[in-house]
Amino acid sequence: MSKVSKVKVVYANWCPHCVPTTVEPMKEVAREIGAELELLDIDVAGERADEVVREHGDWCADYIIPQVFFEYTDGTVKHVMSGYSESVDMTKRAIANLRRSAFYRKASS
Amino acid sequence: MDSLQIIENYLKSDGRCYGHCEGRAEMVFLEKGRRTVSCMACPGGYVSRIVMYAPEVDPADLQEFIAASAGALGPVGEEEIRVATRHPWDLGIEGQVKEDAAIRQAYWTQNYRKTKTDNPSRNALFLCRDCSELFVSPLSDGVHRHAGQANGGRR
Repeated sequence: MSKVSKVKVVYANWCPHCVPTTVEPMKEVAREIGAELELLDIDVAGERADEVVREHGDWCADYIIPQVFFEYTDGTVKHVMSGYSESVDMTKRAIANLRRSAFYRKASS
Repeated sequence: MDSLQIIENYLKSDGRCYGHCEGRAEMVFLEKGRRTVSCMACPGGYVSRIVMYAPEVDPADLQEFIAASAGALGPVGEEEIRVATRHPWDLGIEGQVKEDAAIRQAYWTQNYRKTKTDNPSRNALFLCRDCSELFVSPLSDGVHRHAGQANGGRR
């Protein structure tokens, strides 16, 4: 069975949904899963971030951040979540739900 | 669990008015059905955001919806629409929906990243609190009441 080899986070330092809301928990997630963490700051690694979102995520010209992806050992990349434009609290809740989920337990087993 | 249950139970949120006042903006449904459309409006009726929800949401559909509602504001660019996929694991509803994508959303935020925000008499999109219809009116008008189709309203 393919395992998660990399947790990718597309984010920006100025975005409250991203830092610390998503980036900090994703550091823990990567540790728990035993995967590499790839942080793609749109202001630094814009082209790479765009490429990941365009190929695997919620792509549009001014796409939502953060977006989180799991890359598996077989090379597949899965979109895991996008930030909730409704509120930072909803983004926090989504991350908490993710970490309690069977999807996450499977990824970290 | 159907799309409307997901929206009402997991995606309904109130917030602060964005771009008009310090008031609370509440979520109001504009359309329910094959696709659902909601807006966030403050007590003054200013629409901060419009959101379209569907299993497969096409940003062009939201552009069309807004053009029909707010034609007097000018064209809505592709770059003004943002999309998001909501999964069962981040909504906390695993086991209640089969698909990896529980629902998709397309967002439009009024005046997002536009410099014309500074003009107090610019046209803006409002929700009539009497008939729940969208209409365009100058931002500087103190009272926002829907005056019919002549000013760009839609049902």
